[in-house]
Amino acid sequence: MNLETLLRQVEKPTRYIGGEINTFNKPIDDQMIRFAFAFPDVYEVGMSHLGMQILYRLLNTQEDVFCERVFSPWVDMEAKMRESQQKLFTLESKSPLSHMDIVGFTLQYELSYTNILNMLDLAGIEKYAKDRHDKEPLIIAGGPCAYNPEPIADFIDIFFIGEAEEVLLEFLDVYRRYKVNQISKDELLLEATKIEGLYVPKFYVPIYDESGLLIKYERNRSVPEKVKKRLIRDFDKGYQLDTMIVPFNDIVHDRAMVEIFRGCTKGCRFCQAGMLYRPIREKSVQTIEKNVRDIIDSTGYEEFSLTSLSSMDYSEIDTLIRNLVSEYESDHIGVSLPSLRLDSFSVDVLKEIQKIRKTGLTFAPEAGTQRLRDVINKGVSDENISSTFNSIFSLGWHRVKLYFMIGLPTETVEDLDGINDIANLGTHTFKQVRPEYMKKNVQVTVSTSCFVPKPFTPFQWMPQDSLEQFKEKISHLKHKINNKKVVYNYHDPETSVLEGVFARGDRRLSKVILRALKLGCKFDGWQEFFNFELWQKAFETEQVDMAFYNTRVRSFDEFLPWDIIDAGVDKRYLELEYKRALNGEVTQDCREGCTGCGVNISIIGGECYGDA
Amino acid sequence: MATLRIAYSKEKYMKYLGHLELMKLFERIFRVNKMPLKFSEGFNPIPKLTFAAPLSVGYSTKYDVMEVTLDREVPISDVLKLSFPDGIDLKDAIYVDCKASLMSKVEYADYLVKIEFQNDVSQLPFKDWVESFMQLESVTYDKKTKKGKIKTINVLDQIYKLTSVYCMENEWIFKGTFASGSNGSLNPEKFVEVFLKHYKIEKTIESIEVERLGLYFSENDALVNLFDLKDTE
Repeated sequence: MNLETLLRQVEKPTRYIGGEINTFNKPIDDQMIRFAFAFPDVYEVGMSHLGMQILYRLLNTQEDVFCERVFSPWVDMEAKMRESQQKLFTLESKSPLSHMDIVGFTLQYELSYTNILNMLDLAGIEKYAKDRHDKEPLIIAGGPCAYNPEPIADFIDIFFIGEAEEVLLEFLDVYRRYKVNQISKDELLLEATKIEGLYVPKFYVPIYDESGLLIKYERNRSVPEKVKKRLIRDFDKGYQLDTMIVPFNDIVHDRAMVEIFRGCTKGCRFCQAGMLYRPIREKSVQTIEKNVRDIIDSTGYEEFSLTSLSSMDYSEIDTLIRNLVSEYESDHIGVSLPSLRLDSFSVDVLKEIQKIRKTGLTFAPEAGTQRLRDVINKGVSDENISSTFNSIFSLGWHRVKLYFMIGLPTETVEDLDGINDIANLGTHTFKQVRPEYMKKNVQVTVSTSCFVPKPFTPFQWMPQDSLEQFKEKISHLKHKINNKKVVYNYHDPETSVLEGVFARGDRRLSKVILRALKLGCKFDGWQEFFNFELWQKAFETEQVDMAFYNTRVRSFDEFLPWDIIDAGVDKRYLELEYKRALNGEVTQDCREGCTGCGVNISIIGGECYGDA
Repeated sequence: MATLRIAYSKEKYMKYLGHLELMKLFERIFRVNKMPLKFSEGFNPIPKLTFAAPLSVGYSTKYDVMEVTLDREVPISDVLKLSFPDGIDLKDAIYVDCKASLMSKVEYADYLVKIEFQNDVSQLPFKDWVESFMQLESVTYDKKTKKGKIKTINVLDQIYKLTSVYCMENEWIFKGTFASGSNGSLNPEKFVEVFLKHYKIEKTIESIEVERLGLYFSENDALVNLFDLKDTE
């Protein structure tokens, strides 16, 4: 059966055909370095990811590199492929993945690990790095989960820690020597360790004590003791994405995306991204306006989103939004902001955005009481919440979504009840302040997710709630929330439990992932495919205890699997922040003064910003 | 205001684009190339694009027709230079002043159909069958209407012309001009099913490739290409 016959038999064949606006197709010869950017999830999810768009464009600007894309085929396609022995292929040239020189996986969430192995399986590539011969592609990986690379360290040749734009190009310089057979694969891997930001797990062997605790890594030869994260020092002058691939079908975020800054100064203690992407680096208004113009002009998108970890905190957000709205309003091109913070300042910006399109409003107080918000250092006050409800409802909005986490440290029943109180405050405020013309009824949606303690955060030592605790809390909320105008959605705790295991896992989990794949686990991030029982079976079969990783209390002096990585933030700072959290002490936004996390010393060797 | 009519082909991997995806793609290409799209009035303004006849996913076309409303005319030579993904090409473009809508006027579509059977079919007299089939009064099939009722349709009412093109080894190729429009449509695969059933051919089909060659309306008992549609008054 040929590929076309398969395409006729699957739903959404456009997931597999490539050829979208702004894609590349280069002539292939022996000199061309063939790179596949692999996203271990379905096309629609992968194509919504900005990092892929950046690296695809960047790599293809290299004359001797042809970067193609590959995604997890959806289950219908996978079944047909296996039936007809069709190997996994790239979208651009429809080449077998095994013909690539380099396959680069992006690690966006822990629950995509089985999909990585499944893609290698579908491609006929050996899964364990030690089993791969020189003719097979080099398997590399990067992205937020690479900061704790250990659970998949047995499968990956090289991890890229931090922002990849510069280090990928540096790595390619070494790879070119391998490509022309000047150096062997072993020499290539050893050379890679000399590049800052690259972690080659085969040179680091984890050593455990009798009780099963990790005590150290035994290092090979001259490799560095710790791998330091990479970042783009000057984000305003670094590589600027000037266009994007425009998918044919509806993807998750079907709009242009323009990054306005990296990093975040808020210091929320639960937030891994806030720690990993330090320090904050903003683009100038002029650069952002040029980025928007370039991307809108070359994609035909009718909406663009200004992305970052917390876009409202951009120092000139007001000017930026006003300029962009006035430039694009007449062309019916809308602006959106992905994450909003609850305060009155945001409301002015909202008024501007509203001129074009009424996007849905989502806010994340994260916790139900001031006490718990202080514990997690989420700088949202009761006063902020009520004044925001006041503003948005009096402006004529009638629907709002509120995001909370359950299972935060020190959480009590009062904190859970606080979630209900905030939702009720919303519906109550609506009745007080809604404009005359607003005939619709108010709807407040409350969503809770289950907290997963992550590496490189102050909560990296704490036990995660058990499955039973999460279930109890959800059922408490289900009973508590009885306002008919409030809809309660909750994230299933099983997936968060597994995420918790992998987030702080070690190399002993590699075999569990492979076992789970063999038992049939894949697309674990998808509710309809996630099968917790199969996972439990995989852990049992491999005699690995989940509780060791998620619900165990770690001591501050325990050697952690991710201590091999230097994310810039000092371990002692995290410990201090954990203690402050338990005391309910807040830590200021670091724009207001340095809080001493250490990133200025270890990574940039100077002040984070001159004028702050 | 100007109505731009475009004839285009959709082949290679682009044949897997669904109807909505194709419409979105045209809109995006027009936007990228700063075509002066005319937007609808109202809360969510949308540009006005109409396609004559949706094409099933997996079918290719040599010459389909669409129209887009512009605020003002841009030179046809610029329109024909618009660059689409590999597989879609603009064949012709013209400004029209035509009130009749493409969708209401299209009556017939020309198809070239290639059937690959699992076994050798070269001994089967497809040519004779096609000739005798066209002499028949009535061969019917049942079709579910949108309301869920079963409607019996005479397939011969829906065939304007049918010719066997080629038959060798596992392959049979035919050309057919079938009804395609508001007064009913005959899907080429449905025709194959009815035809094979009529001659009691129990060969398993490996694959069917369908290529649409053009869209037509009838005028004075002759078929005219839809691209040449004009108001008759």
